Amino acid sequence: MKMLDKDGIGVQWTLYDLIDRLFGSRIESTLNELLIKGCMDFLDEGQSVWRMPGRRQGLFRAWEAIAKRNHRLRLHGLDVGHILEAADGPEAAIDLVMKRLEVPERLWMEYFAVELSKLHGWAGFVRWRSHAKEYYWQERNPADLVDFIAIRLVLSLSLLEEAQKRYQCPFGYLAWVQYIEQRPHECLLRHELHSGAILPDYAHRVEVALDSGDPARIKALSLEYQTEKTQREAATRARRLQELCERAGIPRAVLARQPSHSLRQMIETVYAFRSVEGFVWTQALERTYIRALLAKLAEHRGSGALGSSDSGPADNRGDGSRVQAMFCIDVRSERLRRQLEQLGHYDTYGVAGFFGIAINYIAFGKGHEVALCPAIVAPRNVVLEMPHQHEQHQDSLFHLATEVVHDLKATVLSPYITVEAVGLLFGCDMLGKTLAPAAYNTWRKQLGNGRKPTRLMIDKIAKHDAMDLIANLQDEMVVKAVDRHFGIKREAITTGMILELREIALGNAPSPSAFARRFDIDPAAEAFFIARLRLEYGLNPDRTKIQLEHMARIGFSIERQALLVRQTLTTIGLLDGFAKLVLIVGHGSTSQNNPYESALDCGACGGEQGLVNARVFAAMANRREVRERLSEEGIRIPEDTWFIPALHDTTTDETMLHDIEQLPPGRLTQLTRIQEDLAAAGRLCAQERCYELGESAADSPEAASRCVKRCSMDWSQVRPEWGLSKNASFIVASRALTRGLDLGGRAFLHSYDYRQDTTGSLLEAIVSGPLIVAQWINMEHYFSVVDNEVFGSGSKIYHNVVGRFGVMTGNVSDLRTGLPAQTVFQGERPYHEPMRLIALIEAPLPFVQSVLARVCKIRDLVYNGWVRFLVLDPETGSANLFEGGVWIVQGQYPQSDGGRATAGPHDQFAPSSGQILPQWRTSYERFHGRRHEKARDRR
Amino acid sequence: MTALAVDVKWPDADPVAEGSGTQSDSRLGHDLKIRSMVAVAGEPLPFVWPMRNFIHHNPLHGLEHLPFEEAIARASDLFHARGYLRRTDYQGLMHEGKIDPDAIKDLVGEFLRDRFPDQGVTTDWDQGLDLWRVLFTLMTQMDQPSAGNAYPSTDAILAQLRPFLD
Repeated sequence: MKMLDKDGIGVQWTLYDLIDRLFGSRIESTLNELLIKGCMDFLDEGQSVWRMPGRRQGLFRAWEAIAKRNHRLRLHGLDVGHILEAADGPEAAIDLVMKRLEVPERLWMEYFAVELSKLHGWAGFVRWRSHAKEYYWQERNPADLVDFIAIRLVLSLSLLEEAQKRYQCPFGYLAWVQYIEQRPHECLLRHELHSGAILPDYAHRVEVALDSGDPARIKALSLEYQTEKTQREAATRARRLQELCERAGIPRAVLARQPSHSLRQMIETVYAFRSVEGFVWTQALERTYIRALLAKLAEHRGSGALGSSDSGPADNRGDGSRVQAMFCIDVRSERLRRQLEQLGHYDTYGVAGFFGIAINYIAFGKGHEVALCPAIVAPRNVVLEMPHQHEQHQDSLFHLATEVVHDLKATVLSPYITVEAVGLLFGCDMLGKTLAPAAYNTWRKQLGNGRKPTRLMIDKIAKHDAMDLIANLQDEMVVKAVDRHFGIKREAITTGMILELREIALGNAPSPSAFARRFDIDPAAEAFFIARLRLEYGLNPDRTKIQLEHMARIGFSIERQALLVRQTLTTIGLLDGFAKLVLIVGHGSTSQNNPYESALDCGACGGEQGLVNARVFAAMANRREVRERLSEEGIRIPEDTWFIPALHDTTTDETMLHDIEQLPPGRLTQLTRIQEDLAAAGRLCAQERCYELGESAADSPEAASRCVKRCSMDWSQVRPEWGLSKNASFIVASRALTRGLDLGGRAFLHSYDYRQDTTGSLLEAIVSGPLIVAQWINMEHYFSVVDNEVFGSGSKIYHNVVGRFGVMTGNVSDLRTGLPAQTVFQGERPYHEPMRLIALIEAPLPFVQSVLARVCKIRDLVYNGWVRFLVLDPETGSANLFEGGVWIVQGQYPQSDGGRATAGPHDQFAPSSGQILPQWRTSYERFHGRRHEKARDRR
Repeated sequence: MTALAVDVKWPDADPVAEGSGTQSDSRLGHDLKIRSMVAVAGEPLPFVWPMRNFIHHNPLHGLEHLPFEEAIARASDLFHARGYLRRTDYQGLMHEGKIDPDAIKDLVGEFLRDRFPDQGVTTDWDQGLDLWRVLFTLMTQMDQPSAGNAYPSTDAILAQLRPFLD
């Protein structure tokens, strides 16, 4: 048996871990609870009624102020006051505790890592906040990992002091090293006893021996115990091996004849295999999926089942009834695209659901920005939502913006007015959602129908307009200030006086003002008033500059709009043959009582619904000025083509068209058919999904549709939809490759035509953006299913929302990260199949290799095996899988286009005579090849 | 005159006293060192975003510089977590047709070839003791082994196995 290793102190275990393990205490649990409560108080974002004081000083300082007189700590027998008195600031506290514990400085970093891993959810949130410099709550109440770990260490020191008194155990690092060195047998027995691993028939004897404190007696018992336990475990293993061999068809007699060295080899091989078995299962799962996918593609191509769109969208133009639709790459779009295409007259495309438009969005009536783009992108531009009736002011952006600001000001008050009413409605919600969700929801929707249609402000404001707008608002401030401070109404003062006061406050004009002279205000009172204008009303140059900077972020220039539209169209290969109607379909979900609702929304839109990005893209693509610029670059969008934004609700599979009031009258006639088609395709999707949700009663598309709608409204429903569970592959190819093929809602589909991408820049953008987001989604699901307790968030049943930013299990737990059990498990069985993302790319292999060589992030992910690359080379007809450091030919697949892939600009990526593209014929060769590669890398 | 209402912390010692600048620099340097150590220690921790905008992410993002299987081994130590499903769960997937037994056979063969590169690629291992078949059976027919911490040696197991066979 292994003795406790002193080298594990500070690297594997903290000092209190040792006391817990050897003396049966629960220090870690107490420490976690105390720290969690501190974090809950400090990090709260408006959930608690009684807020922690002093939070603006930062996490450590705020906690310190309370901890010094915290009776809860004293009830635990802890006194942190004397520790805090001796340390000024979190760094000093860390230093003091680590020195008091005598932990050598060379081990500090590893000790910190062990401490942080104890509550990796809370620590991860604090770490994220410290990196999110513009996060409102972080700006207001700053916190970082140094604060977090300082609090943890101070609490742990206090707990260790208390434990030493109680258990008479060692205290500091050096004392523990000595204890483990001098009393290895006692440590072993203590560990066995308190970890629950002790042989039951030895428990009492061990306890009595430890209580005696007699080293000789403890040693004798320890040696006996080790021999006995090792023998018993060896016997168990031997029995299992014998059973294994019998099941493998190796009779006992044959096994008995084996020489000892053969049996030894078998024993060692079986136990060596255990360390790689999980990885072997993972690879087997992936290989099975890859083989099935390739077979499916080959069969699909061989059968000639490709749709008419395979001949290219350009041919569809003649039929005015055809519709093109752009969907998010999300796996849930695959079903709707397939069903819609099968209805006929639809060509669909896949692109990341923010449609290339990264924005900060301010919704009508809200005062804060929301980033609508992938988490790896930092948006620079702001888009405002505003009421639709401002349309008549098209002549002046200034008027438009002024009205927007006024609207915003007006609506800021509304939440305060409606708080009480909302409370009353919530009571109705509880009854309605529980007893009759469908009927209740219809009634509730009618209540909310008063919301006016809105449009988005996507254009830039000219600098002089922005300056005028700010000056206008400042003048309003002056009028309000004059009324408030002197009781003088607007009618008593002239515009000139207002302007002069504003300019004095901004430092552009001298006192005294005409206003002061007119109303006999003495210089001191005027100076005081000007100071108030600057400080209280924000009329100062710094604030003005900040306001101007904010205004400069609103909207996009026409050139930028054209660029963004061009980039998205080029990425998916839609450069000509535009239909008269092009749907831009974002997606979102609908569920009740679900803290994880945003996990079901669009990952490419930062966990928000994708409608706003779809609306912005459509608005840009519909602009005459944008089309003129696109035309100059060879992308001619006909005048009668119109882009319509839409939202696909992935829970109900309903798709709603938006901004149709802006549609030219000539296009309205087609809308009814499109809406019917979308509804029909949605019902078929719902039927597919009902089968997987286990809703056996939904035996028709209509019944399925009713069923999924009910799921979206039922607040007791823990699984409104499966979301992205079972995601497996990311297909970067022309839709012709997969059109008509049932991919089971498991594939991210990104449209891509390598023939349009002579430099590889489009593929580079796809693999460094959408593919990374898909890999994050894939890994989130992988780890949430393999260990739902650690990497997932456990059952939703026990979740409690904490601080409006996260969930805990029960009243006190680590902050839950990852996905809930209901998202990745069906009962006790895993529903999501944990495999690494299979990125299938349709392009020549040397071309893909050259792109990989340029994008280091994705190259590292591929080389380190976090993503599996599978390249369908249309020029050779081969499927090539990257595995173990080399490309392996998986076989040939039929080419779809009878020589579509002609030699062309990609020839430049063909390997030169000196370049080796290793392709191994057998796995034996491959393993030798891999060893060779690894040895070379090491060198 | 009224006293200032502001509570100002007055320094007890003269700030220009000899050596104080050095001490202050030293303290700052030490503080920065501690901050750096905490920052590096926190790198393997995954970010946790507010629930309002759930961001799917790789919980092992901080370990992506390592090969997948090594990162899993490291995370298992650090977070006391599993990196793979239980064997019985994989067997369930196999029975549902999600894992092809042939793929397992191939991979077991690759493991054995890697472990015994000089023994050729035949499946008839060592005169009837077909390790390939043993490992395939281990994966597909045996349930999850119980955890043990005694780690008996090969000889200890062999000593227990012989009497069973006899």
